[in-house]
Amino acid sequence: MKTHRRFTAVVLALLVGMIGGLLWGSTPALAQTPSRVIAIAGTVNGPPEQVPLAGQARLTSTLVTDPTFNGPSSVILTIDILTAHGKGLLTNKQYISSGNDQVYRTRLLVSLDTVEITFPFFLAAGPKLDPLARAALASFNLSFDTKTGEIIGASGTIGTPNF
Amino acid sequence: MASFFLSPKESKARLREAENARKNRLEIVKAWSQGQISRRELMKWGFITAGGLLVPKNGLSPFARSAYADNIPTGAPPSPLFGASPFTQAMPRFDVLPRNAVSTLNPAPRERAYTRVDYPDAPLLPLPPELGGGFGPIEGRPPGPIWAHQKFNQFGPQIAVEVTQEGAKVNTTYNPRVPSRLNSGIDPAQAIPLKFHPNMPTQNLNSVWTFNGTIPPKLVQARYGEPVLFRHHNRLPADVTQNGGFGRHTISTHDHNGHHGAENDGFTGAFFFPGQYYDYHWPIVLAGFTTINTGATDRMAGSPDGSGGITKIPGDWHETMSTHWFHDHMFSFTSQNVYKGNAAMFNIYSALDRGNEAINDGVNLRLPSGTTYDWGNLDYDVNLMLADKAFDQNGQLYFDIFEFDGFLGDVMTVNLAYKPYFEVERRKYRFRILNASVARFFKIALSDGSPMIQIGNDGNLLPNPVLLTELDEQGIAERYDVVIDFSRYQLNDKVWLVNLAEHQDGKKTAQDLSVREALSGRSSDPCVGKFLEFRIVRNPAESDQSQVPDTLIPNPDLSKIRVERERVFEFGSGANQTTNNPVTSALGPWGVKTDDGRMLAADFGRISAAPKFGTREVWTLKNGGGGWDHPIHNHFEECQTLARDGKASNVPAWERGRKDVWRLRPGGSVTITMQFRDWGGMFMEHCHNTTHEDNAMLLRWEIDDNGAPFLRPLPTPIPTPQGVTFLRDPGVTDILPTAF
Repeated sequence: MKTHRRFTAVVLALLVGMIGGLLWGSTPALAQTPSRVIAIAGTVNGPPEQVPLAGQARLTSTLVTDPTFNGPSSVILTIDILTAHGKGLLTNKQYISSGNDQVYRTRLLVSLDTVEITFPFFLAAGPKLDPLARAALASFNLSFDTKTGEIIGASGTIGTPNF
Repeated sequence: MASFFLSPKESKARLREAENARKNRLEIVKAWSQGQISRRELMKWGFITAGGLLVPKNGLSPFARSAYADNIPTGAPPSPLFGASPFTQAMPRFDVLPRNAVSTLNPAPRERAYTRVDYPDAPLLPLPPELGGGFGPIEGRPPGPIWAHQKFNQFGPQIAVEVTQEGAKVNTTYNPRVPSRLNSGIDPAQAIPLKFHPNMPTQNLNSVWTFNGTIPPKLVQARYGEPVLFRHHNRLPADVTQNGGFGRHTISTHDHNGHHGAENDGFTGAFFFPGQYYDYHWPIVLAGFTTINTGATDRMAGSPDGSGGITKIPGDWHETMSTHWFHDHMFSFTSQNVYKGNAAMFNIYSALDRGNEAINDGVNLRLPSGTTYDWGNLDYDVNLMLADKAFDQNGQLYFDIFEFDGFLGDVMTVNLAYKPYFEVERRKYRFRILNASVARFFKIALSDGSPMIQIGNDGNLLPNPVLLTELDEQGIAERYDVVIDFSRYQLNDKVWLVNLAEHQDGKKTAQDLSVREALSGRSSDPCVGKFLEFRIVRNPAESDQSQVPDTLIPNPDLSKIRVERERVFEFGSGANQTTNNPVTSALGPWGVKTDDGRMLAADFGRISAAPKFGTREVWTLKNGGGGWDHPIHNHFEECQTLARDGKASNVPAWERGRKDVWRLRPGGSVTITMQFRDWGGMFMEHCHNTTHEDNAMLLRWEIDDNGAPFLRPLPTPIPTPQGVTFLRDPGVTDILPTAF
């Protein structure tokens, strides 16, 4: 049978030079580092009005190592927008974020990283679950201890999503 | 970052090298899938390392060093697209399967499998030589009382859905159940060839095996309190070698995550053969129906009655489910068969989630759907099946089982269409998003960062909707239901769904990108970036009457139910096999460690846990390493997530409802609780990275009710074309010491 002949040829060609296998272990490798809370501020442009927002974000980094495959370390970043609020420049109406915006991001562990997320904000007098909520951009410049995954420096701004 | 797939811009020499390696692997894949060789032989010959990896040999492994570039994986050749450009074809809605009268089924469905074991006059199926010749039963369900449909008389089937599994053919009966204007102008009367894009070649007969042999993917619509008899005919080739290079012609169909008896669960070892059918009885009941609201007096526990009212049913309305899917669960071949097309969706409608946004009865949540029918309107309720695929140089679907980490495709598809567009009106839509990939995680956002509202997780409406600008990573088999309001856009605007999760291999997400990074085109992962284009084409003809209430479905209150047992399952690598039954046991590298025992490779004859009927347990699912992620699926009944990494506060808002699949995250753990009630039999828990599942990360558990009415332990089925037998006394290959 043609298939079997081809398969046998492949077997013979590849048997030469085979190397032994790796034995895998199971090595749990997860370490959460202390959170940092930082101030964030900036202006969101776009209709119906410009809104300067200010608030706080909590940044938490969990180190993930890969001793089994000797792969690169990474961090699971948890970004909580704790508060963000401001008044529209046109109407002077109050805008707020929900207070429980949370984003998870897996990132390769490097000494300096810039991470952008968007988060919803809406009129404080309106519904808290507004499907037409606007989006603000939060940008974070982060520096990491590349051994522990801990965030050792962080700053953040708010802006307009404009991709 | 180096990626599994090479860029089309690589040198010709390197692409040629990768193609040769791919062909070499394909020969082995073919021999393996066709049963010419076994995993044990591959290990003996040195193709697979003791740890289970494909040896890193240039010309074989895509992760061996390239001869043309040191330290860079050989890679896999990119899939040819034959000039297909993104967003140039309309996304087809799912193809809704006919709901027939049960009387249309011939032969009629029976409580026990229709074989001569239980019915002496049952017809026999003449078997071709490829299946060993002679005769076999026409129904492949295991015979006898244990595999009889439980409560078949109490929940007699009211609807019949009859499908085939077969090779690729033209669809001439497409029924999207919406007008053409709500299906991007697709004319359902036009025949649909099996192509992933009009520019791409038609798939060969055995390149793709879908339900009814056609695309678009299929959708079942059913109501609570309306039992369905799902008859699945296996019309795949009798000759196991006629598989287009991958895929196994034996199948077992799992209603993910149906709450019913094990005989209808698509148990991995209850597979059936070409020429046979299997009758799955999906009673569609609310969990707890044997103990809660047994008199069916609670109006919240109900089903649309067809004329604007509610038919009350027994059970706990807090257990109402909405979005299922069904797919193959064939032992060791699930990844190949699901990838090849054995995947469909199943919308379940209830008094709460009625599929009609206009009926205002104080129970109906009025989620985006439509108003034409009493229930099950699909106008603004859209199923999305996401899957990454790969193609060989002839444009035929390609799969590589030697990616033990998990197979990745380099072509994004939605509803089996390559990067399509979908026309929408300026109003709210509900999208039921299924990750139907083999190993790829997604992370979805809108291209402009606008908010979406997540209303469901794994087919369960959340206690409270969650406003988000990007969804969490979505593991394989997870379903996220979201609402997007397109009224924020202007006519002729476009906005895209974007995938932010970048993979380097099938082990886990390498990293999650920001929207800006994902849109930049700089990722080496071809499946990052835009994958579905929304075209805002018109204002709605009728006003949008849909709502997203602040409260959807609160969780069932389990606080007064005692926890009978706690168990720990660790999912990891380096598994051992303690059994050697050639049908029931598999070899790793992946495995599961139960209650701090040994890391064991799958054996569907082994009982790893046996919770007592009528009890509640707490299970902790642990990821044994940081180098991979595992989306773990538990069958039978929805669970509640008690903690992540040991803390309740680590459970995000979108996981605070009921679930059946959990991404453990690298090195992480999840603690869940569930009840074992209403039904009995043997079920499973496994990784839904189906490559991991097929390579032994699966265990069997069964509900122990101390001997009555079920045996203890339940005898393990051993299917053959000539009939299903059972493992001899004691009926299992192994029972773990902490199981009972």
